[in-house]
Amino acid sequence: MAEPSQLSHLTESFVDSSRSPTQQAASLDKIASLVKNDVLTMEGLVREMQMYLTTTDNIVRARGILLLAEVLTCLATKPLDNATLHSLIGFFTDRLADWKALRGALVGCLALMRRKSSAGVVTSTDAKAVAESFLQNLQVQSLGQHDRKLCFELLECLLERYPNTVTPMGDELIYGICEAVDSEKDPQCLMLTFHIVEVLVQLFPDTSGPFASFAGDLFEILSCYFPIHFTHPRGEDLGIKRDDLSRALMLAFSSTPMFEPFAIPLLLEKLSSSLPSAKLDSLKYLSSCTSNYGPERMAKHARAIWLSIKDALYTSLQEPTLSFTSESLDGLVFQENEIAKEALTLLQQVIMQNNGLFLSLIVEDEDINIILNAVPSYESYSDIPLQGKLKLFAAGCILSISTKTSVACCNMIFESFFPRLMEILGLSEKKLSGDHSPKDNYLISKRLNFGALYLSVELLAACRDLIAGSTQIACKSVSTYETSHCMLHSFSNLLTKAFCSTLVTSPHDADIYFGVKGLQILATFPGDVSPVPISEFENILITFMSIITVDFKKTLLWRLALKALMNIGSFIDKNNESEKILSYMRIVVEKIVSLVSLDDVTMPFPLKLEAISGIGRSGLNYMLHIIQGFEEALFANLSEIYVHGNVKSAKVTIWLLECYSNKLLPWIHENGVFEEVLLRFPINIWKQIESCVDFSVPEKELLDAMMTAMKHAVAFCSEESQNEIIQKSYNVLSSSTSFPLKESVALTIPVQLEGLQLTQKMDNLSCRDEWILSLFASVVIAVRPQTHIPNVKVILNLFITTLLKGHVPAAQALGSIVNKFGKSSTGSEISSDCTLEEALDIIFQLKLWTHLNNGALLRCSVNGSEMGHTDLCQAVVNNKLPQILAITGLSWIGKGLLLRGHDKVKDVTMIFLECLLSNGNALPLSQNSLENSCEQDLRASVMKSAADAFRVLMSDSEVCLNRKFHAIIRPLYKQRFFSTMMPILQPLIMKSDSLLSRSMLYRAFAHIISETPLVAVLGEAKKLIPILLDCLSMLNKDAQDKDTLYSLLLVLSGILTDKDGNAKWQEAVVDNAHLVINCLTGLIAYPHMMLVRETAIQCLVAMSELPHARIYPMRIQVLQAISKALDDSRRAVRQEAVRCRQAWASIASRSLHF
Amino acid sequence: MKLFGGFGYLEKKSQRMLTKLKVERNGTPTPRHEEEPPNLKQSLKSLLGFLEILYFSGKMVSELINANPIVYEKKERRARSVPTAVEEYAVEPIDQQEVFDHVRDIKDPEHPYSLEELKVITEDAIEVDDQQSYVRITFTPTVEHCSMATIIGLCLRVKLLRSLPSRYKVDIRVAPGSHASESAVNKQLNDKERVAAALENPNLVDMVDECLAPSYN
Repeated sequence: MAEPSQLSHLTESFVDSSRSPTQQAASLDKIASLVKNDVLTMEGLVREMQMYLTTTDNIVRARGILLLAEVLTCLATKPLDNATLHSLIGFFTDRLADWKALRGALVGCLALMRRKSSAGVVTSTDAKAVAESFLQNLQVQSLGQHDRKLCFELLECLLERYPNTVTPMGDELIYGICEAVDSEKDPQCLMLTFHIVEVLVQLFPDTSGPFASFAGDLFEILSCYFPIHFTHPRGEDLGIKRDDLSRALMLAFSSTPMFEPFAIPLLLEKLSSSLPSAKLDSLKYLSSCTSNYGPERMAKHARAIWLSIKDALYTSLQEPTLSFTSESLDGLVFQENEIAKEALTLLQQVIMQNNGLFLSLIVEDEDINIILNAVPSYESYSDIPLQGKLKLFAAGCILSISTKTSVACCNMIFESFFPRLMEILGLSEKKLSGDHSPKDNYLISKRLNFGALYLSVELLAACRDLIAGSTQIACKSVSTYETSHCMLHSFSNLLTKAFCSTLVTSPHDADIYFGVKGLQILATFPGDVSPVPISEFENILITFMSIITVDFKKTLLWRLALKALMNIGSFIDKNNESEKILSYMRIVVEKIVSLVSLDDVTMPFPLKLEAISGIGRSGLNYMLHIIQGFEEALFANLSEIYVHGNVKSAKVTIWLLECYSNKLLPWIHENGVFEEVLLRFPINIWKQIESCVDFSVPEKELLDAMMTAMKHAVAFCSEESQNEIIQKSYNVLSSSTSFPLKESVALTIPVQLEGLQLTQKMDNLSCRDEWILSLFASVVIAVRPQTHIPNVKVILNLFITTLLKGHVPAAQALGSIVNKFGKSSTGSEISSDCTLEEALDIIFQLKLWTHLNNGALLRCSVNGSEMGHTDLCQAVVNNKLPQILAITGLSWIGKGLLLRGHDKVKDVTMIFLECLLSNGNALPLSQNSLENSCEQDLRASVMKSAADAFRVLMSDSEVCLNRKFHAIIRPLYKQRFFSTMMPILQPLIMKSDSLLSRSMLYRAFAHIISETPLVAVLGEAKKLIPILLDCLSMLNKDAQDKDTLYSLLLVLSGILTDKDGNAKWQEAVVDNAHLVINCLTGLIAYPHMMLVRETAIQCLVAMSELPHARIYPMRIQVLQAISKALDDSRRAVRQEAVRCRQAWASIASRSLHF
Repeated sequence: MKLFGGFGYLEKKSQRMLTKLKVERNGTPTPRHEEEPPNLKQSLKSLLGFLEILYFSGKMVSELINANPIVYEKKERRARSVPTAVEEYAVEPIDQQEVFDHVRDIKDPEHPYSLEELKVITEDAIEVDDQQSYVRITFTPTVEHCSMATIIGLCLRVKLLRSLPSRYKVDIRVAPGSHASESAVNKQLNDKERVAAALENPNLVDMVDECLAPSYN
């Protein structure tokens, strides 16, 4: 037992209204836990609180009762014996009469009534007493919002948990509830009241019972809320939205058929409202009511409902647009319209419920008949007036929905409308019933009527959907849908012909669209129940194929046909219809494969590729077949090139390779495990190269395409396949005489010497060797980290020497090697390979050699007799100088290291920085001025390449070292590099006294900062802005730097327009406001790039929001600069200028508006 | 007469600035009537046309001039073309649609609709000659006796003044036969002095700025 004093202390702190809510809650928790842990019994608590529960002080009594009630709420799971429960509920029931302390009584009743059965529940006798006391004592609508809510919760609880207890109360209960819910307005309470009504009516299902007399009154109360008009600004604080309320009310509406005489007329009336939301709600409610009220009650409203649906449909449809321009090829597109959608749902619902009645309404409907009668008067789509189109489409929707509803409906609709449509189309039954021979020769001479074409395609589509949608029907005998099936069967031949002729003769897009759609539907009836015989199916495929091969100039028709073929292909593939698949393979796939291998020049090659990749992607089987033919064509072309030096094939081969790597490979990779297919391509390429001893192809593009395809193919392969490929390629590489791949070379001869040797050897690299090397580099770039690269040391040396000859893929391969090195423990141990450190040593020895000796090398070549000055200059221009090449190579290696977060990247960057800082002192001043200027140029371009190396380091590359090619990428590596480099670069820039060095440092800075994520830059904005501005003005000078300038300007614009961190940068910008504005006004007139001008002006707009006092002095300057931009040559710039001018002009008085 | 006395002496901008400066330097402001130019009466008369609007649009007239205007749909905007390397240096001369884009969103002085929605302005009613730096806009007031015509014209002029390069000469006219006092309105709108004087009136400028506000978004 707890200390009585402690308990009374706790009680006092809850009851005392001057305490803070947290204190009160804490004391409540303590008391509850005391009871929960059996330190205190319920009885003891009540006894202790006796004074609080019975005092005449209203406030204290209210708090006291509430405390007891809240404690009980906390004890929902604690078992309590029946006697305690009985006395407690008795107490609270009594207290319901005590309106001054009502809250506690309500909470207490709720807490007790909601208890789980395992913990002891209130008996039904007690519950009855609660209900009676409730009805007798409570005037719900006179209470506050929270108390009302509690009352409704209590009612809900009574109805749901004690239905048998409260039902006998009959009239009294219903009357009480009506009274309680009448004119409620709070959304939360309304949710409860709607639910109460819903539960209540379920207690009195009997139509002659006590509820019947109240139905009208209760519905009157409910009907005031329809349609829900909810203006609460944001539902967030309540968690209730308009839709929730609307749904709850709908459930209440449709809860009992007894509401039918009141509800349906109301809903139909509101359906004619001009308010779209009212219409929408009415339709939804009607759907819900239909299913709950039952067919008998709904039958008498059928005609009215049908008229309303029709009306809603006609008025809500808007003009359809023909969308063939975009990729979508959607055909006729209605604007997404909720009302039309709901109306159709309702239609489907009512037809499903009472199909005979509604179908007869539809069939006999005057409007639909008028529409059908009007159809023959307009020949083509463009002839039909807008109203006519809308009606036609409304009729189409109605027929389509009613056909889809059930088999019986499908039959009935077909019976009533199909023959008529066929007649309009000129395919009447008489013509084919006569004799069979003219049937085949029957030709459709005149154009098909568009309206009939449209409607019959809609009917066909609906019928197809119906059959395809329900599998049971497919199992049943054919007789169930005899009528429609027979009709379709007898017309299928004619229809096919008719649709085909539409494609040929029709001038309008809409006709073509529906012609193709019709054919596609005929071809995609599911298997054994298809009314279309296989011969017709083949005819359709042949028609489409002839369009693909012949009519490629009619773009729309061609694309539609291809899409239809793809759809048919994937449909039969999914349904596994073997017979049709065979026909498809024979007619479509084989034909399309032969297209690629044929030298047929009439059809444009890109179109062939589009067709082949499209068909391939519609099914696995097709793809396997196609890829084989594709590869055959590819290798045939390649061998043409290798053996005969046929350059004409090069273009085609490039297309083939591009299609292979961009379209086919990704699809194969996504759709299953075709390891052998993926593996086959690279291996075959290598085999082919191996077998050709010598070839020469001048086409650089072809090699690029080959490399891309190789990289993609290898990257998708698994580790084992990659091992196989790399072994194969290594064999080819080592068999080539130009590359000394002997182990001994690497170990015995000092690296420098070896480098020199190799350099000499590599001078005369044959075309075939170059191909082998490039493709080998591609393989190395794309392999996974676990894949084992044979003989790494030698390969490293090979790549190093080739990169010094200006072979960039070699450098990228080196970067990939160091990036992925050593991540798999097994690979490197088994082989003779070295560790990452050793590899880096090899690389850096050589690199440092190039670097340290560059002065000497330069001098020697400059002073050397065999090389004239002009030659040297030429060499610089052509980027052939070893040092520049070394820097480029080193940048890729550095990138590999940077991505994996290796420390060595610091050494690499230090080399770059040294290059940037090297001023001419190391070189003796030459007497000859020409020589001097040459050296100057040379040094400048070396420094420039060192600065540009930072761009390679930081930017994302498509070619190598990315996720696609399995690079190891450490998170946030850019941010990390940024934060290490900035403290180094900043002082260097400050200290640098040479103009050239400084400009190059700025360049490096620009590359780093423009590739860094903005978040990282924002943190440092204060320090960076001055340098950034200098950098911008430096880059402003040369047109070649426009891209760098633009990306740097984007950083500035990012800083200026950042909304979150205003305080961070604002200070920096405000301090440098005049510098920023000077810089930006300078860029407004930047002649080389429109985007720079536009962005600069946008930055100025952002600047105009700075503190007034700071920017006011610059106002005239900006306005003058902007007025020139108003006359810019580009529209986008002018538009921004107008905005900017307004922003700056309006920060002060009006007098400067002009 | 006294009410408008303040505006008349400001005839030309440069002159105005000079006189202001003079006044400030001398320290003692000279009486205004000495500064007034001789054509005061004419100047005042010109202002009256614009000021009339203030009275009509202000508290004095509570009824709308055209209470139920027909509202039309807006035309589609020009999509922004993606610049490619080839057209980097290409020139896009100022054309009809661009000028229309400048003025289409100006709000009608008495309705919450844009001039485009009310068909006061259409694209076809704009003539542009970029070579000659000339723009002519012909607008159609919604009703013939519309006293708002001048303020609409003023809005158009101000907007183009702020949006077009300074080399442009802008000519603004009421569509022939669409307004009761057509020539008076045309004269008023194309008289530099009258426009400048009107824009010295803070109430008018507020009104213009309010109408122009939506066109800057």
